Amino acid sequence: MTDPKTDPMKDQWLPVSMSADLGPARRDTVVMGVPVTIWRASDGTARAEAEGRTLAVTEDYDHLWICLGTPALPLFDIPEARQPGRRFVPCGRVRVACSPLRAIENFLDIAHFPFVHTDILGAEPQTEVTRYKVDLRENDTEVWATKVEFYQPQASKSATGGVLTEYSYRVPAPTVSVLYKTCPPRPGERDVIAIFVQPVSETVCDVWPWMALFDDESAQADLVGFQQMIFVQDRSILENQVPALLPLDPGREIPTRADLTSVAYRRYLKAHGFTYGAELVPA
Amino acid sequence: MPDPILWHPAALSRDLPAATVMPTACGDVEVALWRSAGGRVSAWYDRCPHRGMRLSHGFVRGEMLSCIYHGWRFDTEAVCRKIPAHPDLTPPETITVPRFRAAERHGVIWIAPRSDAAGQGQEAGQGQGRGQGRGTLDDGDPAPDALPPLPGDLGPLRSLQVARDGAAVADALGGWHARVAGGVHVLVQALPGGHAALHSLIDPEGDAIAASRRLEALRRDLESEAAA
Repeated sequence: MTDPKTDPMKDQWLPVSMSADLGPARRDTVVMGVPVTIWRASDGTARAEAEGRTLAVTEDYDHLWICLGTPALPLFDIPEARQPGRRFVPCGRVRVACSPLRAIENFLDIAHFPFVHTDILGAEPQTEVTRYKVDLRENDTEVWATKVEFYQPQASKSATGGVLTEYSYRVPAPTVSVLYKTCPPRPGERDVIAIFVQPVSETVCDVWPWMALFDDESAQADLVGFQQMIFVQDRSILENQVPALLPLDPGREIPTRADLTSVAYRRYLKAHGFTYGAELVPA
Repeated sequence: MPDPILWHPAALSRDLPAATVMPTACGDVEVALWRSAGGRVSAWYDRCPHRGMRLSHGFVRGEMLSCIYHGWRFDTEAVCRKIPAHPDLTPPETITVPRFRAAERHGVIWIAPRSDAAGQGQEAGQGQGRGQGRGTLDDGDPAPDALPPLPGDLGPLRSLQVARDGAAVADALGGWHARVAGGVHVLVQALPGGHAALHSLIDPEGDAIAASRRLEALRRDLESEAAA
Protein backbone atom coordinates (compact mmCIF):
# COMPACT_ATOMS: atom_id res chain seq x y z
CA MET A 1 0.00 0.00 0.00
CA THR A 2 1.09 3.55 -0.70
CA ASP A 3 1.44 5.83 2.32
CA PRO A 4 -0.95 8.79 1.87
CA LYS A 5 1.29 10.85 4.15
CA THR A 6 4.18 10.80 1.67
CA ASP A 7 2.57 10.31 -1.75
CA PRO A 8 2.78 13.51 -3.83
CA MET A 9 -0.97 13.18 -4.49
CA LYS A 10 -1.51 14.80 -1.08
CA ASP A 11 -0.13 18.03 -2.58
CA GLN A 12 -2.62 17.95 -5.48
CA TRP A 13 -5.96 19.72 -5.65
CA LEU A 14 -8.61 17.04 -5.17
CA PRO A 15 -12.37 17.46 -5.78
CA VAL A 16 -14.74 16.81 -2.87
CA SER A 17 -18.13 18.32 -3.77
CA MET A 18 -20.16 20.26 -6.29
CA SER A 19 -20.12 23.93 -5.30
CA ALA A 20 -23.90 24.06 -5.47
CA ASP A 21 -24.19 21.37 -2.80
CA LEU A 22 -22.02 23.18 -0.28
CA GLY A 23 -23.99 24.91 2.48
CA PRO A 24 -23.56 26.06 6.08
CA ALA A 25 -24.14 22.54 7.41
CA ARG A 26 -20.87 20.68 7.89
CA ARG A 27 -20.50 17.56 5.76
CA ASP A 28 -18.04 14.72 6.11
CA THR A 29 -16.16 13.14 3.24
CA VAL A 30 -12.99 11.06 2.86
CA VAL A 31 -9.91 11.87 0.81
CA MET A 32 -7.00 9.41 0.60
CA GLY A 33 -8.38 7.66 3.68
CA VAL A 34 -8.43 10.91 5.67
CA PRO A 35 -11.79 12.16 7.06
CA VAL A 36 -12.41 15.71 5.81
CA THR A 37 -15.16 18.12 6.91
CA ILE A 38 -16.41 20.72 4.44
CA TRP A 39 -18.88 23.61 4.68
CA ARG A 40 -19.59 27.13 3.43
CA ALA A 41 -18.94 29.90 5.94
CA SER A 42 -21.36 32.80 6.42
CA ASP A 43 -19.10 35.04 4.30
CA GLY A 44 -19.70 32.67 1.37
CA THR A 45 -16.24 31.11 1.28
CA ALA A 46 -15.69 27.36 1.31
CA ARG A 47 -13.91 25.80 4.27
CA ALA A 48 -12.33 22.41 4.88
CA GLU A 49 -10.75 20.77 7.92
CA ALA A 50 -8.98 17.48 8.50
CA GLU A 51 -7.39 16.10 11.64
CA GLY A 52 -7.85 19.46 13.36
CA ARG A 53 -6.06 21.35 10.56
CA THR A 54 -7.50 23.92 8.16
CA LEU A 55 -7.00 22.78 4.57
CA ALA A 56 -6.26 24.85 1.49
CA VAL A 57 -9.42 25.14 -0.64
CA THR A 58 -10.34 26.56 -4.00
CA GLU A 59 -13.54 26.63 -6.05
CA ASP A 60 -13.65 26.37 -9.81
CA TYR A 61 -15.41 24.42 -12.56
CA ASP A 62 -18.50 24.22 -10.31
CA HIS A 63 -16.65 22.11 -7.73
CA LEU A 64 -14.84 22.49 -4.43
CA TRP A 65 -11.20 21.37 -4.41
CA ILE A 66 -9.09 20.72 -1.33
CA CYS A 67 -5.44 19.97 -0.76
CA LEU A 68 -4.38 17.70 2.12
CA GLY A 69 -0.79 18.96 2.08
CA THR A 70 0.80 21.99 0.42
CA PRO A 71 -0.47 22.76 -3.08
CA ALA A 72 2.28 21.91 -5.58
CA LEU A 73 0.70 24.07 -8.31
CA PRO A 74 -2.31 26.36 -8.72
CA LEU A 75 -5.45 24.53 -9.88
CA PHE A 76 -5.04 23.63 -13.58
CA ASP A 77 -6.64 25.92 -16.13
CA ILE A 78 -9.50 24.95 -18.46
CA PRO A 79 -9.68 28.05 -20.72
CA GLU A 80 -13.04 26.94 -22.19
CA ALA A 81 -14.58 27.50 -18.75
CA ARG A 82 -14.24 31.27 -19.42
CA GLN A 83 -15.63 31.10 -22.95
CA PRO A 84 -18.99 32.86 -23.50
CA GLY A 85 -21.90 30.79 -24.79
CA ARG A 86 -20.99 27.51 -23.11
CA ARG A 87 -23.29 25.68 -20.74
CA PHE A 88 -21.66 24.23 -17.67
CA VAL A 89 -23.03 20.92 -16.48
CA PRO A 90 -21.76 19.42 -13.23
CA CYS A 91 -23.13 15.86 -13.29
CA GLY A 92 -23.01 14.81 -9.66
CA ARG A 93 -21.12 12.01 -8.02
CA VAL A 94 -20.62 8.45 -9.24
CA ARG A 95 -19.11 6.17 -6.56
CA VAL A 96 -16.94 3.44 -8.09
CA ALA A 97 -15.16 0.67 -6.18
CA CYS A 98 -11.93 0.99 -8.17
CA SER A 99 -8.57 2.72 -8.07
CA PRO A 100 -8.85 6.44 -8.92
CA LEU A 101 -6.08 5.85 -11.47
CA ARG A 102 -8.01 3.04 -13.22
CA ALA A 103 -10.96 5.46 -13.50
CA ILE A 104 -8.79 8.02 -15.30
CA GLU A 105 -7.20 5.40 -17.55
CA ASN A 106 -10.62 4.13 -18.60
CA PHE A 107 -11.69 7.69 -19.45
CA LEU A 108 -8.65 7.98 -21.76
CA ASP A 109 -9.56 4.76 -23.58
CA ILE A 110 -11.62 4.73 -26.78
CA ALA A 111 -11.16 1.12 -27.93
CA HIS A 112 -13.80 -0.04 -25.43
CA PHE A 113 -16.59 2.13 -26.87
CA PRO A 114 -18.13 -0.53 -29.19
CA PHE A 115 -18.18 -3.17 -26.42
CA VAL A 116 -19.07 -1.20 -23.29
CA HIS A 117 -21.06 1.74 -24.74
CA THR A 118 -22.59 -0.30 -27.55
CA ASP A 119 -24.58 1.69 -30.14
CA ILE A 120 -23.91 4.95 -28.27
CA LEU A 121 -20.22 5.81 -28.34
CA GLY A 122 -19.27 2.93 -30.65
CA ALA A 123 -20.55 -0.10 -32.54
CA GLU A 124 -19.14 -3.13 -34.30
CA PRO A 125 -17.80 -3.49 -36.94
CA GLN A 126 -16.32 0.04 -36.67
CA THR A 127 -13.83 -0.91 -33.96
CA GLU A 128 -10.58 0.36 -35.43
CA VAL A 129 -8.44 2.85 -33.53
CA THR A 130 -6.24 4.65 -36.05
CA ARG A 131 -2.86 6.11 -35.19
CA TYR A 132 -2.96 9.21 -33.00
CA LYS A 133 -0.42 11.43 -31.32
CA VAL A 134 0.64 11.48 -27.67
CA ASP A 135 2.95 14.01 -26.07
CA LEU A 136 3.87 15.62 -22.76
CA ARG A 137 3.32 19.37 -22.31
CA GLU A 138 3.74 22.06 -19.64
CA ASN A 139 7.20 20.86 -18.60
CA ASP A 140 6.08 17.24 -18.64
CA THR A 141 3.32 17.89 -16.09
CA GLU A 142 0.51 17.15 -18.59
CA VAL A 143 -0.21 14.20 -20.87
CA TRP A 144 -1.93 15.04 -24.17
CA ALA A 145 -3.38 12.75 -26.86
CA THR A 146 -4.51 14.42 -30.07
CA LYS A 147 -6.05 13.45 -33.42
CA VAL A 148 -7.90 10.55 -31.84
CA GLU A 149 -10.64 9.61 -34.32
CA PHE A 150 -13.51 7.21 -33.77
CA TYR A 151 -16.80 6.42 -35.46
CA GLN A 152 -19.72 7.03 -33.10
CA PRO A 153 -23.40 6.09 -33.58
CA GLN A 154 -24.60 8.71 -31.03
CA ALA A 155 -21.67 10.83 -29.92
CA SER A 156 -23.64 13.04 -27.53
CA LYS A 157 -27.12 13.88 -26.32
CA SER A 158 -27.51 16.36 -29.21
CA ALA A 159 -26.22 14.03 -31.95
CA THR A 160 -28.84 12.72 -34.35
CA GLY A 161 -26.85 10.11 -36.28
CA GLY A 162 -23.47 8.45 -36.64
CA VAL A 163 -20.41 10.69 -36.99
CA LEU A 164 -16.66 10.34 -37.17
CA THR A 165 -15.71 12.08 -33.92
CA GLU A 166 -12.31 13.59 -33.26
CA TYR A 167 -11.08 13.68 -29.70
CA SER A 168 -8.22 15.24 -27.80
CA TYR A 169 -7.43 14.13 -24.28
CA ARG A 170 -5.59 15.99 -21.61
CA VAL A 171 -4.39 14.84 -18.17
CA PRO A 172 -3.53 18.01 -16.22
CA ALA A 173 -3.32 16.23 -12.84
CA PRO A 174 -3.12 12.57 -11.79
CA THR A 175 -6.86 12.27 -11.03
CA VAL A 176 -8.23 14.68 -13.64
CA SER A 177 -8.85 14.20 -17.33
CA VAL A 178 -10.37 16.63 -19.82
CA LEU A 179 -11.50 15.61 -23.28
CA TYR A 180 -12.32 17.80 -26.24
CA LYS A 181 -14.56 16.35 -28.92
CA THR A 182 -16.29 17.34 -32.15
CA CYS A 183 -19.34 19.48 -31.36
CA PRO A 184 -22.14 18.46 -33.77
CA PRO A 185 -24.26 21.66 -33.54
CA ARG A 186 -21.24 23.95 -33.84
CA PRO A 187 -18.48 22.89 -36.24
CA GLY A 188 -15.25 24.67 -35.35
CA GLU A 189 -15.92 24.50 -31.62
CA ARG A 190 -15.35 21.53 -29.38
CA ASP A 191 -17.34 20.14 -26.49
CA VAL A 192 -15.42 19.78 -23.24
CA ILE A 193 -16.09 16.82 -20.94
CA ALA A 194 -14.00 16.27 -17.85
CA ILE A 195 -13.84 13.88 -14.97
CA PHE A 196 -12.62 15.08 -11.61
CA VAL A 197 -11.80 12.04 -9.49
CA GLN A 198 -11.82 12.12 -5.70
CA PRO A 199 -9.53 9.39 -4.34
CA VAL A 200 -11.50 8.12 -1.34
CA SER A 201 -9.02 5.28 -0.87
CA GLU A 202 -6.66 3.38 -3.16
CA THR A 203 -9.55 1.19 -4.32
CA VAL A 204 -12.59 3.46 -4.02
CA CYS A 205 -13.21 6.75 -5.78
CA ASP A 206 -15.93 9.30 -6.40
CA VAL A 207 -16.08 10.46 -10.00
CA TRP A 208 -17.41 14.00 -10.58
CA PRO A 209 -18.08 14.45 -14.31
CA TRP A 210 -18.34 18.03 -15.59
CA MET A 211 -19.15 19.36 -19.06
CA ALA A 212 -18.84 22.69 -20.87
CA LEU A 213 -21.00 22.42 -23.98
CA PHE A 214 -22.56 24.36 -26.80
CA ASP A 215 -26.01 22.84 -26.49
CA ASP A 216 -28.97 25.19 -26.20
CA GLU A 217 -31.62 22.54 -26.62
CA SER A 218 -31.12 19.58 -24.31
CA ALA A 219 -32.61 19.80 -20.83
CA GLN A 220 -29.99 19.82 -18.04
CA ALA A 221 -31.51 16.63 -16.59
CA ASP A 222 -31.13 14.84 -19.96
CA LEU A 223 -27.47 15.89 -20.27
CA VAL A 224 -26.75 14.64 -16.76
CA GLY A 225 -28.72 11.45 -17.45
CA PHE A 226 -26.73 10.73 -20.61
CA GLN A 227 -23.43 11.13 -18.76
CA GLN A 228 -24.63 9.04 -15.81
CA MET A 229 -25.63 6.23 -18.19
CA ILE A 230 -22.14 6.22 -19.73
CA PHE A 231 -20.47 6.10 -16.31
CA VAL A 232 -22.66 3.31 -15.00
CA GLN A 233 -21.60 1.26 -18.03
CA ASP A 234 -17.95 2.03 -17.26
CA ARG A 235 -18.44 1.06 -13.63
CA SER A 236 -19.26 -2.55 -14.58
CA ILE A 237 -15.76 -2.71 -16.09
CA LEU A 238 -13.87 -0.73 -13.45
CA GLU A 239 -15.11 -2.84 -10.55
CA ASN A 240 -13.99 -6.04 -12.29
CA GLN A 241 -10.40 -5.35 -13.26
CA VAL A 242 -7.74 -7.51 -11.62
CA PRO A 243 -5.73 -6.38 -9.74
CA ALA A 244 -7.76 -3.46 -8.39
CA LEU A 245 -4.64 -1.28 -8.25
CA LEU A 246 -3.31 0.09 -11.55
CA PRO A 247 -0.19 -1.86 -12.58
CA LEU A 248 2.80 0.37 -13.37
CA ASP A 249 5.12 -2.53 -14.22
CA PRO A 250 5.07 -2.62 -18.05
CA GLY A 251 5.30 -6.44 -18.06
CA ARG A 252 2.10 -6.92 -16.08
CA GLU A 253 -0.38 -6.17 -18.88
CA ILE A 254 -0.16 -6.16 -22.68
CA PRO A 255 -0.84 -2.82 -24.40
CA THR A 256 -1.26 -2.24 -28.15
CA ARG A 257 -0.93 0.86 -30.31
CA ALA A 258 -4.48 1.90 -29.33
CA ASP A 259 -3.26 2.13 -25.71
CA LEU A 260 -0.61 4.82 -26.32
CA THR A 261 -2.43 7.30 -24.05
CA SER A 262 -2.65 4.75 -21.26
CA VAL A 263 1.05 3.90 -21.65
CA ALA A 264 1.97 7.61 -21.46
CA TYR A 265 -0.32 8.09 -18.44
CA ARG A 266 1.30 5.18 -16.58
CA ARG A 267 4.78 6.51 -17.37
CA TYR A 268 3.78 9.98 -16.19
CA LEU A 269 2.46 8.54 -12.89
CA LYS A 270 5.70 6.63 -12.41
CA ALA A 271 7.90 9.61 -13.31
CA HIS A 272 6.13 11.86 -10.78
CA GLY A 273 5.87 9.19 -8.08
CA PHE A 274 2.04 9.21 -8.09
CA THR A 275 1.65 5.69 -6.73
CA TYR A 276 -1.49 6.15 -4.62
CA GLY A 277 -3.91 3.67 -6.29
CA ALA A 278 -1.10 2.00 -8.23
CA GLU A 279 0.41 -1.44 -7.85
CA LEU A 280 3.93 -0.90 -6.60
CA VAL A 281 6.60 -1.96 -9.05
CA PRO A 282 8.84 -4.70 -7.66
CA ALA A 283 12.33 -3.34 -7.09
CA MET B 1 4.22 -42.47 -11.12
CA PRO B 2 3.25 -38.80 -11.24
CA ASP B 3 1.11 -37.31 -8.52
CA PRO B 4 -2.59 -37.76 -9.22
CA ILE B 5 -4.25 -34.65 -10.61
CA LEU B 6 -6.64 -33.05 -8.18
CA TRP B 7 -9.94 -32.47 -9.97
CA HIS B 8 -12.34 -29.89 -8.57
CA PRO B 9 -16.07 -29.96 -9.35
CA ALA B 10 -16.78 -26.56 -10.93
CA ALA B 11 -20.38 -26.60 -12.20
CA LEU B 12 -23.19 -28.85 -13.35
CA SER B 13 -22.92 -29.38 -17.13
CA ARG B 14 -26.55 -28.34 -17.47
CA ASP B 15 -25.83 -24.91 -15.98
CA LEU B 16 -23.31 -24.04 -18.69
CA PRO B 17 -25.22 -24.11 -22.01
CA ALA B 18 -23.48 -23.68 -25.37
CA ALA B 19 -22.06 -20.19 -26.02
CA THR B 20 -22.02 -19.05 -22.39
CA VAL B 21 -19.40 -18.15 -19.79
CA MET B 22 -19.57 -18.15 -15.98
CA PRO B 23 -17.23 -17.42 -13.05
CA THR B 24 -15.95 -20.21 -10.83
CA ALA B 25 -12.71 -20.96 -8.98
CA CYS B 26 -9.96 -23.51 -8.63
CA GLY B 27 -8.70 -23.24 -5.07
CA ASP B 28 -7.96 -19.57 -4.50
CA VAL B 29 -7.73 -18.74 -8.20
CA GLU B 30 -10.72 -17.16 -9.95
CA VAL B 31 -11.63 -19.01 -13.14
CA ALA B 32 -13.68 -18.16 -16.24
CA LEU B 33 -15.52 -21.32 -17.31
CA TRP B 34 -17.05 -21.28 -20.79
CA ARG B 35 -18.57 -23.49 -23.43
CA SER B 36 -18.16 -22.83 -27.13
CA ALA B 37 -21.08 -22.93 -29.57
CA GLY B 38 -19.80 -26.36 -30.61
CA GLY B 39 -19.89 -27.60 -27.00
CA ARG B 40 -16.24 -27.55 -25.95
CA VAL B 41 -15.67 -26.58 -22.30
CA SER B 42 -12.63 -24.50 -21.27
CA ALA B 43 -11.45 -23.16 -17.91
CA TRP B 44 -9.07 -20.19 -17.84
CA TYR B 45 -7.56 -17.77 -15.44
CA ASP B 46 -10.30 -15.12 -15.05
CA ARG B 47 -8.25 -12.18 -16.29
CA CYS B 48 -7.70 -10.73 -19.76
CA PRO B 49 -3.96 -10.22 -20.30
CA HIS B 50 -4.64 -6.81 -21.91
CA ARG B 51 -6.17 -4.70 -19.12
CA GLY B 52 -7.00 -7.24 -16.40
CA MET B 53 -10.77 -7.43 -17.03
CA ARG B 54 -12.51 -10.55 -15.72
CA LEU B 55 -13.12 -12.80 -18.73
CA SER B 56 -16.16 -14.31 -17.00
CA HIS B 57 -17.93 -11.04 -17.92
CA GLY B 58 -17.16 -11.70 -21.59
CA PHE B 59 -19.21 -13.22 -24.40
CA VAL B 60 -18.95 -16.30 -26.60
CA ARG B 61 -19.26 -16.21 -30.35
CA GLY B 62 -18.74 -19.50 -32.13
CA GLU B 63 -15.55 -21.14 -30.87
CA MET B 64 -14.12 -17.95 -29.34
CA LEU B 65 -14.42 -16.17 -25.99
CA SER B 66 -14.29 -12.36 -26.17
CA CYS B 67 -13.37 -9.99 -23.38
CA ILE B 68 -16.20 -7.51 -22.70
CA TYR B 69 -13.81 -4.56 -22.29
CA HIS B 70 -12.12 -4.30 -25.70
CA GLY B 71 -13.43 -7.39 -27.47
CA TRP B 72 -10.11 -9.26 -27.60
CA ARG B 73 -11.05 -12.69 -28.90
CA PHE B 74 -9.41 -15.94 -27.72
CA ASP B 75 -9.73 -19.41 -29.30
CA THR B 76 -10.33 -22.64 -27.34
CA GLU B 77 -6.55 -22.99 -26.84
CA ALA B 78 -6.62 -19.57 -25.09
CA VAL B 79 -4.61 -17.89 -27.85
CA CYS B 80 -5.59 -14.34 -28.84
CA ARG B 81 -6.85 -14.32 -32.45
CA LYS B 82 -8.41 -10.88 -32.80
CA ILE B 83 -7.81 -7.39 -31.43
CA PRO B 84 -10.75 -5.30 -32.72
CA ALA B 85 -8.92 -1.97 -32.29
CA HIS B 86 -6.49 -3.24 -34.96
CA PRO B 87 -8.62 -5.31 -37.35
CA ASP B 88 -5.79 -5.92 -39.83
CA LEU B 89 -3.31 -7.13 -37.23
CA THR B 90 -2.63 -10.82 -36.66
CA PRO B 91 -1.99 -10.93 -32.90
CA PRO B 92 1.28 -12.56 -31.86
CA GLU B 93 0.70 -16.12 -30.60
CA THR B 94 2.41 -15.21 -27.34
CA ILE B 95 -0.76 -13.42 -26.18
CA THR B 96 -2.47 -16.19 -24.23
CA VAL B 97 -4.49 -16.73 -21.08
CA PRO B 98 -3.20 -19.29 -18.54
CA ARG B 99 -5.59 -22.21 -18.46
CA PHE B 100 -6.72 -25.21 -16.47
CA ARG B 101 -7.69 -28.73 -17.46
CA ALA B 102 -11.41 -29.18 -17.96
CA ALA B 103 -13.43 -32.39 -18.35
CA GLU B 104 -17.07 -33.47 -18.11
CA ARG B 105 -18.20 -36.64 -16.30
CA HIS B 106 -21.50 -37.57 -14.64
CA GLY B 107 -23.06 -34.30 -15.79
CA VAL B 108 -20.45 -32.33 -13.86
CA ILE B 109 -17.66 -30.07 -15.18
CA TRP B 110 -14.36 -30.83 -13.44
CA ILE B 111 -11.30 -28.60 -13.53
CA ALA B 112 -7.70 -29.13 -12.48
CA PRO B 113 -4.47 -27.12 -12.53
CA ARG B 114 -2.07 -27.79 -15.41
CA SER B 115 1.58 -28.50 -14.85
CA ASP B 116 2.70 -27.50 -18.36
CA ALA B 117 3.50 -24.05 -19.77
CA ALA B 118 -0.12 -23.36 -20.73
CA GLY B 119 -1.03 -23.30 -17.04
CA GLN B 120 1.80 -21.04 -15.95
CA GLY B 121 0.85 -18.18 -13.69
CA GLN B 122 -2.08 -19.96 -12.08
CA GLU B 123 -0.46 -20.77 -8.76
CA ALA B 124 1.12 -17.38 -8.29
CA GLY B 125 -2.10 -15.74 -9.35
CA GLN B 126 -0.11 -13.54 -11.69
CA GLY B 127 -1.26 -14.86 -15.03
CA GLN B 128 0.47 -12.56 -17.46
CA GLY B 129 0.07 -15.00 -20.31
CA ARG B 130 3.04 -13.53 -22.09
CA GLY B 131 5.86 -15.27 -23.89
CA GLN B 132 5.10 -18.55 -22.22
CA GLY B 133 4.63 -20.68 -25.26
CA ARG B 134 1.75 -23.07 -25.71
CA GLY B 135 1.10 -26.35 -24.05
CA THR B 136 0.96 -29.35 -26.32
CA LEU B 137 -1.05 -31.43 -23.89
CA ASP B 138 -4.71 -31.94 -24.49
CA ASP B 139 -6.99 -31.09 -21.59
CA GLY B 140 -6.72 -34.79 -20.79
CA ASP B 141 -9.15 -37.29 -19.35
CA PRO B 142 -9.28 -37.71 -15.63
CA ALA B 143 -7.77 -41.05 -14.59
CA PRO B 144 -10.55 -43.51 -13.66
CA ASP B 145 -9.70 -43.27 -9.96
CA ALA B 146 -9.29 -39.48 -9.94
CA LEU B 147 -13.00 -38.74 -9.56
CA PRO B 148 -15.38 -39.85 -6.80
CA PRO B 149 -17.08 -43.21 -7.47
CA LEU B 150 -20.47 -41.99 -8.70
CA PRO B 151 -23.15 -44.25 -10.17
CA GLY B 152 -23.61 -43.74 -13.89
CA ASP B 153 -27.32 -42.94 -13.86
CA LEU B 154 -27.41 -39.80 -11.68
CA GLY B 155 -29.10 -36.68 -12.98
CA PRO B 156 -28.26 -33.04 -12.20
CA LEU B 157 -30.10 -31.55 -9.21
CA ARG B 158 -28.67 -28.09 -8.51
CA SER B 159 -25.66 -26.10 -7.38
CA LEU B 160 -25.76 -23.74 -4.45
CA GLN B 161 -23.28 -21.55 -2.64
CA VAL B 162 -22.56 -21.75 1.07
CA ALA B 163 -20.99 -18.98 3.12
CA ARG B 164 -18.58 -21.37 4.79
CA ASP B 165 -15.04 -22.55 4.13
CA GLY B 166 -14.84 -25.53 1.72
CA ALA B 167 -12.73 -27.74 3.99
CA ALA B 168 -15.11 -27.12 6.92
CA VAL B 169 -18.07 -28.06 4.73
CA ALA B 170 -16.33 -31.25 3.60
CA ASP B 171 -15.56 -32.03 7.25
CA ALA B 172 -19.16 -31.53 8.28
CA LEU B 173 -20.45 -33.74 5.45
CA GLY B 174 -17.82 -36.43 5.96
CA GLY B 175 -15.94 -35.86 2.71
CA TRP B 176 -15.60 -33.77 -0.47
CA HIS B 177 -18.09 -36.22 -1.97
CA ALA B 178 -20.99 -37.18 0.29
CA ARG B 179 -24.24 -39.10 0.01
CA VAL B 180 -27.09 -37.41 1.79
CA ALA B 181 -30.69 -38.52 2.32
CA GLY B 182 -33.05 -38.82 -0.64
CA GLY B 183 -30.56 -40.39 -3.05
CA VAL B 184 -28.56 -37.18 -3.37
CA HIS B 185 -24.81 -36.99 -4.01
CA VAL B 186 -23.13 -33.74 -2.98
CA LEU B 187 -19.80 -32.61 -4.43
CA VAL B 188 -18.08 -29.86 -2.46
CA GLN B 189 -16.06 -27.16 -4.23
CA ALA B 190 -13.91 -24.78 -2.20
CA LEU B 191 -14.27 -21.16 -3.30
CA PRO B 192 -12.11 -18.13 -2.46
CA GLY B 193 -13.03 -15.98 0.51
CA GLY B 194 -14.06 -18.84 2.79
CA HIS B 195 -17.02 -19.94 0.66
CA ALA B 196 -18.00 -23.24 -0.91
CA ALA B 197 -20.27 -24.53 -3.65
CA LEU B 198 -22.36 -27.69 -3.36
CA HIS B 199 -22.93 -29.39 -6.71
CA SER B 200 -25.56 -32.05 -6.31
CA LEU B 201 -26.77 -35.00 -8.35
CA ILE B 202 -29.81 -37.19 -7.72
CA ASP B 203 -30.89 -40.81 -8.30
CA PRO B 204 -33.31 -41.23 -11.23
CA GLU B 205 -36.16 -42.16 -8.87
CA GLY B 206 -35.38 -39.40 -6.34
CA ASP B 207 -37.81 -36.55 -5.60
CA ALA B 208 -36.02 -33.48 -6.94
CA ILE B 209 -38.22 -30.88 -5.23
CA ALA B 210 -37.95 -32.50 -1.80
CA ALA B 211 -34.21 -32.99 -2.30
CA SER B 212 -33.76 -29.36 -3.30
CA ARG B 213 -35.51 -28.21 -0.11
CA ARG B 214 -33.32 -30.51 1.96
CA LEU B 215 -30.27 -28.93 0.36
CA GLU B 216 -31.50 -25.47 1.35
CA ALA B 217 -31.88 -26.74 4.92
CA LEU B 218 -28.40 -28.26 4.73
CA ARG B 219 -27.01 -24.90 3.66
CA ARG B 220 -28.71 -23.15 6.57
CA ASP B 221 -27.30 -25.74 8.99
CA LEU B 222 -23.79 -25.42 7.57
CA GLU B 223 -23.90 -21.63 7.78
CA SER B 224 -25.37 -21.51 11.29
CA GLU B 225 -22.78 -24.03 12.54
CA ALA B 226 -20.15 -21.65 11.18
CA ALA B 227 -21.74 -18.75 13.06
CA ALA B 228 -22.04 -20.74 16.29
